[in-house]
Amino acid sequence: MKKNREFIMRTIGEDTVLIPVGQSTREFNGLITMNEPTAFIWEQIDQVDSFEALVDKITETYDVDRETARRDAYGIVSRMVRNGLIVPTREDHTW
Amino acid sequence: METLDKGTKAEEYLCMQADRNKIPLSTAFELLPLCNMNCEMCYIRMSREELARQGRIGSADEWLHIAEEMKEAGTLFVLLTGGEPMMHPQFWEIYRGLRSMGMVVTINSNGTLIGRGAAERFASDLPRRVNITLYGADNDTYSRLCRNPHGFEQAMAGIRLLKERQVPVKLNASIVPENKEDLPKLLQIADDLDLPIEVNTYMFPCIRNGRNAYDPAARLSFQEAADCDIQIRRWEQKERFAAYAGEILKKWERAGESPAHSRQIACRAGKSSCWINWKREMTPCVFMEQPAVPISGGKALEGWRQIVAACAGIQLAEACGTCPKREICQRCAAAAYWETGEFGGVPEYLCRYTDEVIRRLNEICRDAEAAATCQ
Repeated sequence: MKKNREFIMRTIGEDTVLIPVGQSTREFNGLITMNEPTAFIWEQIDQVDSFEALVDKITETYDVDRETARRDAYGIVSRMVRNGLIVPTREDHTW
Repeated sequence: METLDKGTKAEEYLCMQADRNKIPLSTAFELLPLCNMNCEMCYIRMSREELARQGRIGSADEWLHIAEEMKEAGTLFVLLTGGEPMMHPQFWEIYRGLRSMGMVVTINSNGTLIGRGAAERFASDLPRRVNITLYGADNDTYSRLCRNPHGFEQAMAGIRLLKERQVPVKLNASIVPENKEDLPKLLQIADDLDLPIEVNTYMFPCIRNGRNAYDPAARLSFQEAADCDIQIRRWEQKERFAAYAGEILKKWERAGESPAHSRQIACRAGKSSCWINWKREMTPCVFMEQPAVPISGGKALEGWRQIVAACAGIQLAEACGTCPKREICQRCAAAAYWETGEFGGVPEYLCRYTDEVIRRLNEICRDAEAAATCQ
């Protein structure tokens, strides 16, 4: 996966937001607040080469069982793809 | 003046957090004091000669360095203003640079310099909003007030170009003697264009940039200001105006039941917002010339700390904090300062303005009750 470069992450105090820039503002001209798990996934998303590798990172960092991590990460990643925040890099779009 | 106006719920949440943690979430960049118009009541505008005697405008590099520092300090929202900010020779470089940092940008403009090219540029990377100030409802008023006999049509053309491209626009207006008769038409323009409008009826009696004495005739009398205030509230509330009047009067009548206002600054200045003027000095807000902390050369964060400390030390009048009109009155630290010479002074003009608003609202409620009785 790779991040859509037209979304910029900003951290203000304890809060993390994504700011659309460029043509992305035509779809959404506002800001997207992110909770900690979502912000973590955003930071990792283009550093790992598979969904399972992402789940590995989550379980290494947080005290959570693998099944919960997979389920929650799947939901977050799916939403990110649906909203154009991230884009698959594999030809088969599995990652 | 709030640098972040009419915010969304997410923005309001971030402001609340920033207020608590003293993060400069919202910063205004007053790019230059130059303007292509010359409005009677403007206290910022300078001629090029006056500007050259007092300093120079900052380059895009300078402003973007400041922006990087403010970004590190927590600034997310930047208001580009002036003068007329689009007169800055590197306006687009500044705009693009701020956006590439992930800044959410609002622009205050008179709208007269927005042609097709500018509208296309805004459309390709939308700002949060372009606030267009209308100075009147026709070219005659613009000619008298702004010395620009084509200003109204130019501003309206700019607004239409932005609207056609779905660039968010809000209208601003400040009512002074020269344009007060245009108020109903200004409100109609907002209705016709389906745009929000914010109308100011209170003009700060302030001077800046080394000018001489303020001219009291430059603003409305308190009665005229209150009259315009009522017109605006009636337009905003429409058929529920009488009920709204009753709600406002209840706040006044029941003031004794609610806690006194703190003597500290109530707005976000020095808590989560600040102003950086064209000389690259940081102040709490546009209406406060002091404290003014130079921030060029890597001093923005330290400047912010000084502004926070200075604002924490400002005390407003105790009488204002316990006044029964406190929920209705528009007074603020800057107003108290400019009206009386002291932050702790009681601004008499605003007292009388608010008295007049209350008197008029009482009349409206009595008339409404009488009409209900007659039906």
